[in-house]
Amino acid sequence: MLGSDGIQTARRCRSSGLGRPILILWRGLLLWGLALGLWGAGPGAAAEDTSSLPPATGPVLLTVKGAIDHTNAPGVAQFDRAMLEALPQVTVTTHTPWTEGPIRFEGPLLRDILAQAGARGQRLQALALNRYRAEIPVADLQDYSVIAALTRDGQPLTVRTQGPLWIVYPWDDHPGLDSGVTRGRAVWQLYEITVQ
Amino acid sequence: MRASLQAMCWALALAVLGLMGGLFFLFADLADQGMIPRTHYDGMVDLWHANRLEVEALEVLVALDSYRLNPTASAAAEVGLRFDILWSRIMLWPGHRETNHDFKAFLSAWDPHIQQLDTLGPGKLINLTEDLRRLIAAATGLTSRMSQSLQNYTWSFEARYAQRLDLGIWALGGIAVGSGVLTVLSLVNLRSLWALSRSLEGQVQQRTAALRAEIAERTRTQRDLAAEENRLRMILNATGEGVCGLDEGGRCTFCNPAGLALLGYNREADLLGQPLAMALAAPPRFLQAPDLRRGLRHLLRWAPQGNTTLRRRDGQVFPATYTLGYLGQGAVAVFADDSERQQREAERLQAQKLETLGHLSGGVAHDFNNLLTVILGNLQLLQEALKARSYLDGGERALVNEALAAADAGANLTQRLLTFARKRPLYPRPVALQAFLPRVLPLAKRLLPKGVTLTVTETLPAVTVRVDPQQLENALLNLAINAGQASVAGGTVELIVQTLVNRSAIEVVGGTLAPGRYAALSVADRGEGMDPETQRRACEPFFTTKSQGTGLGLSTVHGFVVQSKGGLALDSHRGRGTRVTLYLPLVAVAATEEQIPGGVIP
Repeated sequence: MLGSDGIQTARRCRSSGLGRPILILWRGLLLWGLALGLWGAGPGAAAEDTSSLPPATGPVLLTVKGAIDHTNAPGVAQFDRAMLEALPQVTVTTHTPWTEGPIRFEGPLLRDILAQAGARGQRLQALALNRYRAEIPVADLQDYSVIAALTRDGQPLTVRTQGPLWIVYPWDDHPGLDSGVTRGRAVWQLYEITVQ
Repeated sequence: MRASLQAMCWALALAVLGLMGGLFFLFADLADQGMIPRTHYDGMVDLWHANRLEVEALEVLVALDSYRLNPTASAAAEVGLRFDILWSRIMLWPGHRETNHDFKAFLSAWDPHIQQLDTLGPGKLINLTEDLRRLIAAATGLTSRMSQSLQNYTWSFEARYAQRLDLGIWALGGIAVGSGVLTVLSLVNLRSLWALSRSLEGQVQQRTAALRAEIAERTRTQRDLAAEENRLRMILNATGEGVCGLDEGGRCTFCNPAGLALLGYNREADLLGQPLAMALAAPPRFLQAPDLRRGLRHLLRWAPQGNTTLRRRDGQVFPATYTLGYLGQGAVAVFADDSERQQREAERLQAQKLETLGHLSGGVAHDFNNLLTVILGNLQLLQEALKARSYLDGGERALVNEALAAADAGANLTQRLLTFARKRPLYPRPVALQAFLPRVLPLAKRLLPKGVTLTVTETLPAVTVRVDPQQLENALLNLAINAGQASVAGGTVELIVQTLVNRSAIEVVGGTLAPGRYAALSVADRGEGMDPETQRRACEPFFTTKSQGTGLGLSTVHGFVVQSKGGLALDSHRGRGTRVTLYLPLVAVAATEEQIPGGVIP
């Protein structure tokens, strides 16, 4: 009712109950295991893969799955830092609700990443390392220069600084954009996108 | 009807407007963040962060527990990752000023050790776990406090806005439902209501116009009727004839003033309802019958007009002519007093009779006079002859003298007849009464019977009349004789002489006296008087009450007076005597008086 997806999500998390720590543990182990396994088997798998997307050679920062055409791993498209940095880098200088003063973010456009993966859907489910989940309409990416920021004021983003990827909207360029809705969509510590 | 429809339309418009406004408030304005105060939003953000901090600290704890159970490299990496995530949260969010310092102290204290978990002994791990639990407890407390304050704030906010909005929503909902019902009803009935309204209005207008026309017509008719009635009433009031309405039973329904006067009534109300027979001197039998209705019809059919004798209220009867006409169920009777006409008729007949008599007697008297002249002449010659014959004794002379006397009397009679017939030549001249009367009075006194005295007005007026003095003397003596005969022994005969100026009409025998100045010579007795019939006929020639009367006395006097442009009046009452007045016109006082030789009428 009060128009904030973030709040709703927060309440859902609070009301998840006692079974949730076990779930988190299980999913964390699974994901990190999978990630490490893929990283280890990357070159071999890439050689066998016939898709147009080259396999990730470094640590995987972002995984795209769901309705995509291009994969470099079974059913998913994985991007390491080099692959992301190879895409056209876009600078977005903006204030954010969580920081002081204007900040210069830099990173590839989210729509370029999705284009790399050959995404076909209309909605994205963005998942963060801290288990925050947000839905982003693809239309947002077409209308605005929404980037997956890799650096902040020239410094690479780490987990401690909301990295390694932070979805940043150009709020300062579009004053009407600064609403609870797009704030909720500005997922930091992004690591997985599901295209629907 | 039109007003209610208008009101309905207004209500509908207002309801739609209210509904739109309500919806706008509900879905547009509430969606706007501007509606929510910044502090409230900040409170929610703080709560969110605190909540996430708690969760992310729990994640670190879970990862740490997992590592303690199974200290692998990946578990250590997970702990590092969760620690980094917690770090990012704490560093990003300034947090609550009370606890932020503790959070940051925790981070800086354990940051060196997290990266080398394998170097930590079990005791340190337990310390880390304890610290983490404290942090989680602090975050939980923070979350709880923030949630409470936010709830308070939210409650007060809702108290201020949302409850009011709820009330508004209920009201708007009510309006919406009501207006919906109204709309449906209006749409269903609008067309028929319009049609009904128009037809009703048309009917009302038609009816109103018809009523107006009717009222105008009635007013006009009433005015006409009133005018007509007024006209009729005026005609009825003005006419000299009596007009009386009768209902079918022959009873009076109205009567005009002339009719009332004729019948001797003062007020119409006294006559209304009275039967027709009341006004008739001798009502026929069919009008006395109980069935007056039939009697009236009979009268209308068989005698619609004619002469009758009516009876006044006081019982006096008078001849009348009448005309009956149908009037509705009843009849209208028009009647007039006929007595005057009858009287005129009688007078006309009388005059005719007198004229005839005059002609007759005049003619006879004239011839007779010629004869008497011859007889008188011869008798006088015979008398002269007898004087010369002295041998005759007195007997022959006496015979001749008697014959002469009789012839004289006859001549006298013929003169009187001629006077009555107004054929006798008059020789009028001015006669001064003061000089004339004293000469006549001794003769008159002598003619009165013994014991009857004559009194004369003491001061005779110094007036002059223009008459034939001989005839005046005859008339006075005639009257004196009549008065003397009427008087009882010891009675008195008066001669009263007055002058008068006749302005109004003085009743005289055979008409009224013309206006002018007159001398009135009255001879009055105190005898037994005359009854009306006798009085009426007193001036007729040959009418007499005396055994030896000629019936020419008073009529001769009358003839003389009328011929002298005067008049004769009779005033007589039974038991009180008779007065005969001669009205003789006066001449100018300056007129010369002549001595008139007196004469005696035998």
